[in-house]
Amino acid sequence: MTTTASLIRPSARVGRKRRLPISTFLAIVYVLLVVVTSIFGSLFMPYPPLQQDLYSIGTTPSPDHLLGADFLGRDVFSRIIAGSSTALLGPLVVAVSGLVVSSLLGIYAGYSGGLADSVIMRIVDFMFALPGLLIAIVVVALLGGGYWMAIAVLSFLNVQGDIRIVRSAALRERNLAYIEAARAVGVPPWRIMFRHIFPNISPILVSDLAIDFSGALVALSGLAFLGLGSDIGAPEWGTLLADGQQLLFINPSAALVPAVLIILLAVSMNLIGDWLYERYSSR
Amino acid sequence: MPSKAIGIYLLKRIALLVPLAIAVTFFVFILQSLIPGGPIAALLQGKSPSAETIAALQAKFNLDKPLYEQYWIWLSHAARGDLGISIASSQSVSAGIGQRLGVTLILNLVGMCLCLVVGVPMGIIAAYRRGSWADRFVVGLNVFWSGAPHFVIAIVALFVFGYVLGWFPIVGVGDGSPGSLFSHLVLPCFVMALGPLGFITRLTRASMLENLSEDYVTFARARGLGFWTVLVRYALRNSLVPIITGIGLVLIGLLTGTVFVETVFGIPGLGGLLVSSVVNVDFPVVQGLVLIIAAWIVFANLIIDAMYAIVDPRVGFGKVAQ
Amino acid sequence: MKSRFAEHKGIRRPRRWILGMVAVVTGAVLALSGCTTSPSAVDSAAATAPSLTWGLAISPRSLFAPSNYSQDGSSVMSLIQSQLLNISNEGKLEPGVASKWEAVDSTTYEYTIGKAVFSNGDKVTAEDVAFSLNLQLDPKVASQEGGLFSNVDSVTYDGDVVTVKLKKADSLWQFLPASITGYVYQKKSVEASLATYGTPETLPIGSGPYMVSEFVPDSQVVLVRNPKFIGDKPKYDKITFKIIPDPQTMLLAMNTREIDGTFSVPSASIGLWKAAADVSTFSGLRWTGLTLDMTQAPYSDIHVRKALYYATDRKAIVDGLLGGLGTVSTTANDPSIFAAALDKGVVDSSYEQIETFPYDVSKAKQELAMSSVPDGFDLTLNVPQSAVLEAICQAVKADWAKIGVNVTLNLMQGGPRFQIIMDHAPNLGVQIISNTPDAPDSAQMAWQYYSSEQAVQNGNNSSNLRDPKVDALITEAQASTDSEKGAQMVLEAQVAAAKFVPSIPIAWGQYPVAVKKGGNAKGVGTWYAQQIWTDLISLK
Repeated sequence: MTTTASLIRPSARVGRKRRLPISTFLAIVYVLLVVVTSIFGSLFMPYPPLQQDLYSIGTTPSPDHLLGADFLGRDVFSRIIAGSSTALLGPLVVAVSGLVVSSLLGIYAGYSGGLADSVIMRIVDFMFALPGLLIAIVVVALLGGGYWMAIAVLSFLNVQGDIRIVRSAALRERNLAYIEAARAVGVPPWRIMFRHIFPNISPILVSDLAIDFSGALVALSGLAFLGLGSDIGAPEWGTLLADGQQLLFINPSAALVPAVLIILLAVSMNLIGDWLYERYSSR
Repeated sequence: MPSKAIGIYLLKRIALLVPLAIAVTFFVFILQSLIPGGPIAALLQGKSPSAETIAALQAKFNLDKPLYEQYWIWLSHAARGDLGISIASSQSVSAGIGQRLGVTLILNLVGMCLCLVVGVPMGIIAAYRRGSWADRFVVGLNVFWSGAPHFVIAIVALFVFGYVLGWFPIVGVGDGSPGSLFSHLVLPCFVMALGPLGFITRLTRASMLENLSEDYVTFARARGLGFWTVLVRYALRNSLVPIITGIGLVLIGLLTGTVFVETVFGIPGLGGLLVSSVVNVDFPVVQGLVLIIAAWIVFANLIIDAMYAIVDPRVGFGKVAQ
Repeated sequence: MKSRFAEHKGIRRPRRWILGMVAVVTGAVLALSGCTTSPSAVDSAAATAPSLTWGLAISPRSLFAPSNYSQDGSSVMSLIQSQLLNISNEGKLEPGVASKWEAVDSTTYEYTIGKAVFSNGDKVTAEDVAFSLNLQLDPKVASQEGGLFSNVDSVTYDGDVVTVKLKKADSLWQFLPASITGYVYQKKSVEASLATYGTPETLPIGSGPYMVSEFVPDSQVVLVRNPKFIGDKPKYDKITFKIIPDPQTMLLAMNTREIDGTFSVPSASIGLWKAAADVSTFSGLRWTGLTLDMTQAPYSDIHVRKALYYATDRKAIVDGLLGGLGTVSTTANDPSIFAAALDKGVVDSSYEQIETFPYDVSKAKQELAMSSVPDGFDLTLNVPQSAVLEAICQAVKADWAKIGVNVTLNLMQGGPRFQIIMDHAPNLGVQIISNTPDAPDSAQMAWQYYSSEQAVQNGNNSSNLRDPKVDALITEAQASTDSEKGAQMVLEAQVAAAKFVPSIPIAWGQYPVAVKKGGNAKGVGTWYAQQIWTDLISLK
């Protein structure tokens, strides 16, 4: 099966808008908000995220507990703030590891072609045909291990898509005049790859990063729902959502707020990724 | 195309299934063998079994044999079509899978149909009326779906349509009559389809946009060809290749959705069986399911190749895949 | 470049399109669902016959007891299979398939078979009974509950009488004919298809009040009245068990009356359930507690064990976390297990002697100060995957942090976690236990958690308590044929064991049962899974 990135990603070649769309602007604002919360949030946490009160389990929102309490009487609001850093960090690790591996292998495969290319692409094609999250479910359920185990498995499974995209971008660059020129004047291949091709395809890498991020975020929350890949007690958004689900009809905000936050973060990253991609492909 | 070529191609594809199946089942088998206590501890947890009980159970399921022998026993039986006996339920694995396969297939195929029948037209409309409220609505909705975890959509749908509005029953697959099966599966099918639907819509829209701006479309209109002819025969037809690739991804992606949808809606299908058998280290069942998944993947690729060949006669059957 | 095609917008507005699309989708769904009708469709019984629809969170994995050792399995199987003996809520034995029974001596029991008839019309014979009991001993069958028969030497029959000989006196034995091991199967039907017996391919035949009409694992089990049943006519003509794994879905199903009731009421949402249904509770005899490996430092120091005990707020866990579905426990046995053997006064006064160390952080700190680890220490607690146990462990972690003991929680699947206890390698550390006795034999749990016989491989005593006096009392109780005397020994053993602080008992569980509003389940009690419990459920 052969696909190129341009087939999967929406790359409208018509009616391009240079202006930042309002939705993308809002997405960026939201992501920045989460980033700021993850850095400074601990200053505004009303309670320590692990502080329990077994006599106020599942209490509904009140001035004391803005979003109520969870099944151990912990303050949901504080836990959401505390979880914002893992919510960013975990998916980021998945996305960045994909980025690093794919820029190494993808650019190499795309630029040099030949045997290396076909070997890499064979492996990628094989992995492409596998249901990633399903494999993650099986592996994490069998081997156990918490959040970072899930991250490791997802990172591994995520790499193939990135390689594919980076390779086809590198392939396109390779035939452009400036690369021909560089080659003609005897610039070594590694230098061409990483000083010339890499910067030029970096927008697509960033776009990819954003889209991988949102995929990983959703996948992690799915694993948490199945009781997999979560560190018990840790204030992680996916786990908060899965835990809050136990109290869905008692304190709905304990489940709904993390759900909304996760969806918004995933959607925002998707919007940002799409926007970057459109900008890149409209160059 | 000569039918012989198709035959060879089919054989090649099916032959590919054998190494794939051996590789994945071996991998999963090794993973399972790492679990302390294996299926017996999972079966007897919290009880006080005697050493004799444990030994008898291990002997019954060949767990007392060396690992390579266990795998060989499984493989040689599987080659003859005998997938063994579930350690947890004593039911034969093929019967257990067979009993749950139907409902999972319905979920997947109806989900797929919904994707195509709703997703493609939505993508076309959005592309055709780019920038209109319809386009923005479609794009916005699909961006939202793409970020919403399956189980969240499932629980919300269950709550709203099953409980608050009471349109559909809450749980299971009903008493077996077609009408009751239908009413029980409407909600799960839609939930299954939502995420992939967004994906297909985005693909269609992007691909159509690309083609609608091509000169041949303008030229066709200029020749006075009808609206539908241009839209479907020209633009859509030329947009199909990426959509078909997307369909392949969706066919595989839907499998994952099954796990969540079946869990929330209490549907006895393969997704739920996969989770429970993995947790119970019920390895004959896990192996059987892994085989099914591998076959499904090969099958999905076959369909895609066939569709490539149909939409683009220049593509020889199976050539695109190389 | 602007889309040229878009300029055609407004020329034609194909709106009918969308409507057509909806019709196509609906048609496709209909066609697909219509052509895959499940072959197992059952003729629905007459609409007027009283029927019961019951929610189960866990599907019975099999309907043959040797391959399904579980309480949820029993609650279905005991409606199909008559037991050799029956049991009351208080744990008193009553006639079942055996019309009378007697202990000839401490190791020989005789059961005289009554007039029971299998649903296929065949009489239940002594041969069937002996065969059923021998299933537990047959290594080919590999019965999961075979461990309960460790002390059985032989099972033979002669005429109407089945004789069981034990290797040594065993107080548990008398109750086993009224437990999961007491189901009477028909020899010829089991032998005809042993490998698949109890699966959907070979539905079991029994002499109980109901017959299986449909068994779809993970979906539903349908039972219909057995016309050949010799006992009183059961209350419902048809019982449908629906499998609903998700607790939220279960609650919605209760609310929409898709089920009439369930035992699966999570403690986390007990309040909502009380609003949605009629919820009553009964003693489940389930003990939840933490064992401390007495052979491993620092737990080998009694001050450390006492400190951890003082530091655990058991009352908060029971009242808060368990939503009142339990009481604070002081030893493994729930006092109500003694109900059949001893007067409540005797039992209560013995339980008062059990040493406890109620929640008191300052006392905990004092105890710890006297130990080798005055400033606390770090430990890892393995947590089996279970909503309730996970919550309890998190509560314990928070409690112990107050005295400087830092707990790392390690979430594990149930199987591998249990294997650690079974392996019984040195240094078991702290383990969380949640278990129930198989029969109203008070010696069983005491033996499992306090005797040196179980402080070995494949044993449950993860405290590794080894005390000759406790051992002697438990052995004597097991050997006693006088249930009153045996029970008194166990009471003494519990008091003696508690002095060593081998474990931190947390709760004795109450089991909830929810029935739709207007109905009730008042008579359902501890041993419901071995009774025709459906007769005790009243719907409006």
